[in-house]
Amino acid sequence: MGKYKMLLWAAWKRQRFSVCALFLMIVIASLCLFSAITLYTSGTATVEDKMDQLGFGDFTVWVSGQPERLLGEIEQIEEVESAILQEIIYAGYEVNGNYSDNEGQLISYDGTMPYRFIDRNGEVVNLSEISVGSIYISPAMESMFDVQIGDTIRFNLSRTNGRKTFMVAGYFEDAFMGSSMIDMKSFLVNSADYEEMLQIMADAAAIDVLGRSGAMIHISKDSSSALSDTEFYEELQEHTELAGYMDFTYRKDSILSYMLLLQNIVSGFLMIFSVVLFVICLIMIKHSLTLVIEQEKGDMAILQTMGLTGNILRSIYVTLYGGSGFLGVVLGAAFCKIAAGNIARGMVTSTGMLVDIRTPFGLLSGMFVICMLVFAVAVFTQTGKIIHIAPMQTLREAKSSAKVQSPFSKRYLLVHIAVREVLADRNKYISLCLIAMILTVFLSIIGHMGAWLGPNGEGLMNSFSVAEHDLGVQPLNQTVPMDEIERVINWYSPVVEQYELAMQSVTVNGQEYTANVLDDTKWFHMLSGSVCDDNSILITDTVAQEMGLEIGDIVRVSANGKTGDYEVSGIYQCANGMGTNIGMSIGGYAKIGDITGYIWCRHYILEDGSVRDYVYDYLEEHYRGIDVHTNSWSGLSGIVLVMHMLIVGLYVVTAMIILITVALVAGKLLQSEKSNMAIYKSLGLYTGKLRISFALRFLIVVLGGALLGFAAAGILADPVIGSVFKNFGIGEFEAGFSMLGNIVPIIVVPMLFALSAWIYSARLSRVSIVELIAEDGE
Amino acid sequence: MKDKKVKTPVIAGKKIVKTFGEAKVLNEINLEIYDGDFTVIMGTSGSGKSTLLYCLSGMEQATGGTIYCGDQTITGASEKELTKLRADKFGFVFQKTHLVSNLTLYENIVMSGLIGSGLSEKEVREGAKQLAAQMNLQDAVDRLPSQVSGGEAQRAAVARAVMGNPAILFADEPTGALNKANTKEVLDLFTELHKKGQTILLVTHDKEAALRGNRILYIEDGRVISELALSEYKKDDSMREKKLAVWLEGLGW
Repeated sequence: MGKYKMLLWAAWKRQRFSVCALFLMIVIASLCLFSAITLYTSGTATVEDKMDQLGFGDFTVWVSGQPERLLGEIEQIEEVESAILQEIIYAGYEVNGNYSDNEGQLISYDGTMPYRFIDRNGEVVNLSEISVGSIYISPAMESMFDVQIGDTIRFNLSRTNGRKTFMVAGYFEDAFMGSSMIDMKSFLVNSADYEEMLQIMADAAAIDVLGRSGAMIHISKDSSSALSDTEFYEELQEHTELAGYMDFTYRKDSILSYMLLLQNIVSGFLMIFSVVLFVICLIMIKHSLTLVIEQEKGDMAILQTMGLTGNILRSIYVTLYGGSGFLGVVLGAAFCKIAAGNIARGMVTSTGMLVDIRTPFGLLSGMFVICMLVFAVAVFTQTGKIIHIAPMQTLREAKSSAKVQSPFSKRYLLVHIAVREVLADRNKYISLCLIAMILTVFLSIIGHMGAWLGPNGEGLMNSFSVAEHDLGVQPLNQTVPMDEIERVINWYSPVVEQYELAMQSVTVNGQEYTANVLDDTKWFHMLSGSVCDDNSILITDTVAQEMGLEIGDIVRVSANGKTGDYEVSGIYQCANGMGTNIGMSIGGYAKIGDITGYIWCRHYILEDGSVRDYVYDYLEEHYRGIDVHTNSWSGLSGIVLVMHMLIVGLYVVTAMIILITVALVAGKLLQSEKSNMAIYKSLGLYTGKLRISFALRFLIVVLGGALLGFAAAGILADPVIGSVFKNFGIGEFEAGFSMLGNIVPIIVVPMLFALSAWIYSARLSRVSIVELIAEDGE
Repeated sequence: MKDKKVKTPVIAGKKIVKTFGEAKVLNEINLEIYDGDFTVIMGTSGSGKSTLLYCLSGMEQATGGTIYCGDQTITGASEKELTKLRADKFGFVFQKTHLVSNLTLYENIVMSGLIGSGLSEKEVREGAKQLAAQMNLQDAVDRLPSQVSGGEAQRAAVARAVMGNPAILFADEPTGALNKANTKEVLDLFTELHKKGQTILLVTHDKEAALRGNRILYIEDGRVISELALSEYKKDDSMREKKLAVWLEGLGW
């Protein structure tokens, strides 16, 4: 045992830097993995719990009017376990003078509802009553409207001064509508204020009323029911007057997807990143152990001649490297709760929820065992070479190098020295090349996402919108002077193209969807098949999967009591409603719906799209009776901010990984080349030049890896992101060629490696020629 | 051949002191190494002979005293100045060959010229070929250090050291790791170089090697305690041997 301890201590002293660097990398990798898992499971569990506590059920239907009779009908259905009605007021609102594009839903808070309140510091506060004149909002409103505690929100209930103004007193978690992905927001107010608002609407003449009363009906399917969700919903439609009351409906999984969209994207990328890091760790284990065994083969042979077995020597390195892996994973797991909590807290203004971080012990234990098994196999396999060391043969072996040819000239001496070193010891650089390739692919994926997202979230805008546009104007009555409005738009920038869109509720084979109706179908973002005509419709990938539909299938589409059969002519891209929508031509919709009302929103594509916000502001300020919007939504900026922060964060962690990798590789290289370095110095080569030559080696190798990564990313980046985004209704992802996705990684990765190598090589100034000579002895 | 009558010091040291912790390895040594001389430093193990060589060549900073190379002060010079000095004026041969492991013998010789000399690349390459031929390395020049014999490697190390026409060639036990035949080959090279006017400072405890010098210093406990001039017997080998043997016997060798 004594000799084991002594050998272990000696090995630790020689290898401590490599072991510590590896440990650090494993900590980061496991922290990313366990945080991502914790965040994902906690977020899902939190939202599900909150939805259950608030009585969401399997479906929630938003209805207008007083639907007590409807509630009774629903409760009569055998398959329904429960139906809970929650009264609300729908009303348009202004935040600090800015109009919202969407209605808000006001809820009277009676102190018994299980809502959770959050103060401005993100801490949970207990609240038994909301004071008169105060309002509580979703934290996502902060990113959507830059609203702060103390700001005012005014609800427009009628045209005849029927306004009600509140002061924002704090935040609450809204598990149904809280995410910034959802435009419609809930507001909690005092019951007296709520009653007053109902009275204002009741007092106003019918023609002047802007707000409306309604309800959410939370419907739960009987647990013994054999019906699928779709069949259950068809049952509801068939046996009740639901269609007559309904504004819109959401299934529980749709709401979950909306609420958790951003968090799941962040978790997904963290998981991908952690896999990348684990692969790098495995490469580094192989690299370090190969070099260590190569360098210490002689000493090991001597120790074997003294009676130590190969297995004892092997166990020293298994303990060191396996131990660092074990401790790294343990530390990563230990701090994952804190890291996940901080990430969740950072996203609260986008997710609208303060996720309760719960450690998923079972899942984490499983991942822990898998990680440990992978590390154990890697370390055990690599150290296997130790037991094959033949002592006398090793001691007799002359240290030989493979001869390589590469030019030498005075002019490019440093480059030529670097090239020669790389070629002579190419095996030592393969790991570096591989890591550079992996990091380049990863940064390219991140870059592709960033480029697609654009500085203002253009990628998301286009994915979530039905068709490309800069500005949309929907007249809500006949008094709107559309000719004048178009002259204004043209004054800002000539209109290049225009078309009309109506978004109407329909059912497809009994399932509720939004129909995007265009007067010119060429504007649909087609993925496959052909555009629809009057006898056909387009569906999204989500609808295709949800309903098991393919191009050529016949579906029954219903609206307003009318029904028609249509062929699915193609798949198109529109992630709005997480992709739960269909595309129709105006002629196709006319067969089942009324196309004469004020349902049409005119979309404009401007010659200079950058003026759209100015036009929006002008129209909002000067015209009434119109709904103006740009190709954006109010919560987009918050999402874009989080995504940009994610990109920056991943770049920062990548830079750290590069620094650690270089420290590991360079440490071993400098150790094995100490003699050559001292010789170069004795010949008169300045330390500064040696450092440049050393950094050049990394630049050459990593550039090679980066170029391979560039090629691999060209093939992999779009499909990888596309497969992640498909889960969120974004059926097609194509970033194309971009600076951020293609060029930046192959510049940044080699430069970071070279810079780190140059910084690390500062220790070359400590390579003493005397030390070299001292090896000769006095 | 250079004029031996004019004794110009290439390197001069005054009161050189070197301590390692409490131990005083060099104790106020005064010394001049003259242009064209083949100076040998002898002494027992631990006497400080190698340390003196390191201090004189600027590889080790002396703790006290002053060392000059021509008009340049070595003591207190910056690392950059010392590197330039090594590149321009000094050549080194060590006990182990210390050739760059992944360069062939020829490339090792060329490398020295490319780094240190003011010669053009063409001149360096031609000079390296000539030196390789002179050192009888024609058959080994394209091999790596690990693929040649110890004698060939050490001859290449000597060729590399003189490639840039150094003002002085420092050699620290250059034959310490060689067999008898290879030792003779290398010492013959030093003799040849000396004949051509190369200033050499050789540290050794080998009498055979010491006999090749024309001036021998004996160092003990960090001081030069005796000096032997062999210049006048340069054509009489047996007399040189005798003189050296008597001198060393007198020093208790």
